Amino acid sequence: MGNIFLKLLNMSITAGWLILAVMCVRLLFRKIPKWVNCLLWGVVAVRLVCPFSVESPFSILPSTEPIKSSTVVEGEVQNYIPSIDSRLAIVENTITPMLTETFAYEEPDSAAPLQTVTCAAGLVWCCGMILLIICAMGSAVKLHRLVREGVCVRDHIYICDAVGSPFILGIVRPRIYLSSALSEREMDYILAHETAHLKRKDHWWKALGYFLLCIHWFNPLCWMAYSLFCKDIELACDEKAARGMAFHEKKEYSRVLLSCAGQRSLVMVCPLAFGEVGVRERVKSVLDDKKPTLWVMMAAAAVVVILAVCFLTNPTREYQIRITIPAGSTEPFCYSDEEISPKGSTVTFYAGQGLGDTEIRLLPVEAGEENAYDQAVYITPGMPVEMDVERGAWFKIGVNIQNPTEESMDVYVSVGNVEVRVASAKEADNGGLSMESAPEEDGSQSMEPLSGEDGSQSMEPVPGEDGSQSMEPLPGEGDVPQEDMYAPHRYDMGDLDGNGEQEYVVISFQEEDPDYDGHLEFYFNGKRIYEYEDLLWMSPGKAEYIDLDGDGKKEIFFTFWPHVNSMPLVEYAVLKQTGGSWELLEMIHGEDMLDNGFPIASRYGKEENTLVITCEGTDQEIVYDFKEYYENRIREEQESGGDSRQYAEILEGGYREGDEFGGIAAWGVWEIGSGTYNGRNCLIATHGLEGPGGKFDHMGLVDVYFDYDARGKVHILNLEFREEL
Amino acid sequence: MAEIQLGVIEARYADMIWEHEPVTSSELVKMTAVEFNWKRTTAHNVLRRLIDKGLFRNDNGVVTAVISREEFYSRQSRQYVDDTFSGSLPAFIAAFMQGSRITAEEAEAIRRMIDRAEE
Repeated sequence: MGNIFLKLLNMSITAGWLILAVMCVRLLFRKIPKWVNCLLWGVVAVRLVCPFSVESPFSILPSTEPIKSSTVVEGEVQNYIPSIDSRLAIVENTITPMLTETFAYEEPDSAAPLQTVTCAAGLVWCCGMILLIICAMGSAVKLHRLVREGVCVRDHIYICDAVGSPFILGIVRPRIYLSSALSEREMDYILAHETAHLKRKDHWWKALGYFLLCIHWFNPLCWMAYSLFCKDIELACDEKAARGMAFHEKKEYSRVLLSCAGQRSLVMVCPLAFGEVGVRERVKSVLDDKKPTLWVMMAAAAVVVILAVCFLTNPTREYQIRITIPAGSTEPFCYSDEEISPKGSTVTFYAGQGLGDTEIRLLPVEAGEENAYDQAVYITPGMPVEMDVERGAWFKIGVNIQNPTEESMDVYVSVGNVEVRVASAKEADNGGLSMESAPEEDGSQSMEPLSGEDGSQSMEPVPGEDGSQSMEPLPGEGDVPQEDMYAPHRYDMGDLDGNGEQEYVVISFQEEDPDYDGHLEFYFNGKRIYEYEDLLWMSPGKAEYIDLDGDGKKEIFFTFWPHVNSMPLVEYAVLKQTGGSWELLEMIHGEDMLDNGFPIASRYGKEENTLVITCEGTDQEIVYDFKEYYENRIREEQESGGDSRQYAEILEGGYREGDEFGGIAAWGVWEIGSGTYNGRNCLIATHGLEGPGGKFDHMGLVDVYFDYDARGKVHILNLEFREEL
Repeated sequence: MAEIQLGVIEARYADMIWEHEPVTSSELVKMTAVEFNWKRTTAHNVLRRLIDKGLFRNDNGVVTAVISREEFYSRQSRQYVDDTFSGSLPAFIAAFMQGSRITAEEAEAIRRMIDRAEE
């Protein structure tokens, strides 16, 4: 429903331009016979009814899709803001910002507002249309009842007592109804007018017009058009009726018109009595009616043809595809966010705003032949360039431009005869980012990634590379041949941003026993964006691409395991991309690796046998009654023949409120993973919690839910305690 | 007695009744079917109206006159044109129909314009 209405709305707006043009023509060309005016309204009707059209370069229409239906995007987080495709700068500058404010959305789970609005609007439209149709039907029924008492004079002409102004009723077998009180003379002239209506088939055109009005009732221009159309019909009818008359007859006709003033002549199929033409105007029209000169007729014909061509044809849709060159980019090519799909077998590119002489390239995103687009093609402002393309395939447009400045740069490529979409939402974790370079960036944590050389090119394939590594957390997998254990190894982390290139991690070691001196590098689109060094062995972990600070752009959440032999510690990094560079967001660390976690405190509570868990950085407090837990432990120990004294002591009490209760289990954070909390992406740091009974008194797990604020600082969302292991 | 208004066709029907009265209503139906091509219900409706206006009387299906034809026409002063047409339109549409009645001055001006017009 919403989609139908949207298409209709577009059609209506497009037709609105034509209506305005016709109104101008009517004003300028008053001498044209009125039946030409009716032809013009016919052109309008075609535009209102016909959803299809031919594209031509003569089209004056700004656009046939003022409101892009492709802005309605399903579900996925998209930064795409609905835009108005219009060549009028005014429209761009006023309506687009309005749409941005109203409809740009960043909540991952909310339905696209534009979608719900169009659905609702569609329902309103449907109701309005039905109402108008019912109105017409009701009126028709009433009229039929009224004219039951009509009496046939001859053929299809009836007189009736209850009729004041004459009208025509019926579409298939129209009947003229006249007032029974008319004199013979009056009746003759009025019949001249009414039969002219019938000869011109006005009863059909008015019905069609009303039907179109029912559909386009929301467009005020359509109401005006219908009103003027009805007027023109009346005047055209006067013309036709008076054409065969001698001049003195025309005067008589005018006198009859005058005496029936206030009694309107209506072609009745619908209840609308639009088309009020003043008597004066009609009389003048009849008296002044001269056969139009050839010159006028030719001009009229020309006007109709021009209007038809200009407004019935659609403009060849040209899109300005934007390519953002990030600050400091040294990439050979930067690609557009939007993707194009050619409708034909070639595509013509024009240099758009901001583009000078440059090399242009197509990157296939969904195409049969991926390797056919490697030749260099050059574009110059003013000289379009044409490329052979695969019809129906999807491409990003790339330009060979570097940006040494500190601000990102937008250039535009103009292309027609294509479909456009934002990068496909089907691919997971796809934010449709341009491929951008990623020079080094310092972190500011205790375990900083080292700042290295920037501008390093993508790594050569390393020896002993073992292809895509699984995402399993188990360290020291036996994929690595023993001799090559210390050589650099590459582990694929998946194609995070969906551009066809894998992100990967390279791990290498400097020395053999006893220190491993492990070295880990994270590569994103061939650019090293994060480094980590430690004296421990490293195992690659997994990388996820999620938006953790709610700004609509995804961050990289990367976990890995530094470890000694088989005992891993978990380490994590959250990397955020701003412009072309990557920065490390805040990570919570204790003073050393073993303390790698949030400052969680567990204390005895006020009530007997309660434990209070708090965490620095949040006001949340978890109060846990541990009586049952220790009773179970005691029973378990007794059943297995163990020593339950320490647990019994805990239950016996004797502790004061605020005394420390156990602590975070060894090795700090046991696991960091991604999750959601209240619909937001977040990370969950799971800590083991020990009771006072020592490291075998494993009370449970404390989960800290956190994400990041706009400044990249950790922001704790929730604290949870789980008893089970 | 107040003036009774009849439309042209109503008058023809009334004439028919005066000419043939006393007459049964079913006879009238046949006559109007021939003369006006009316349905039975229409004939009855118009008869009802004429009876309500006080012209005729229906006793057990026989229609007789209450006022004679001469008496009736002597009371008529003007022809009555019933503009009930506008009553069939929804009110909001009727609101759009103003502005077409002209004043006497305007009518006079237009009449002069017509008279003076030359080819």
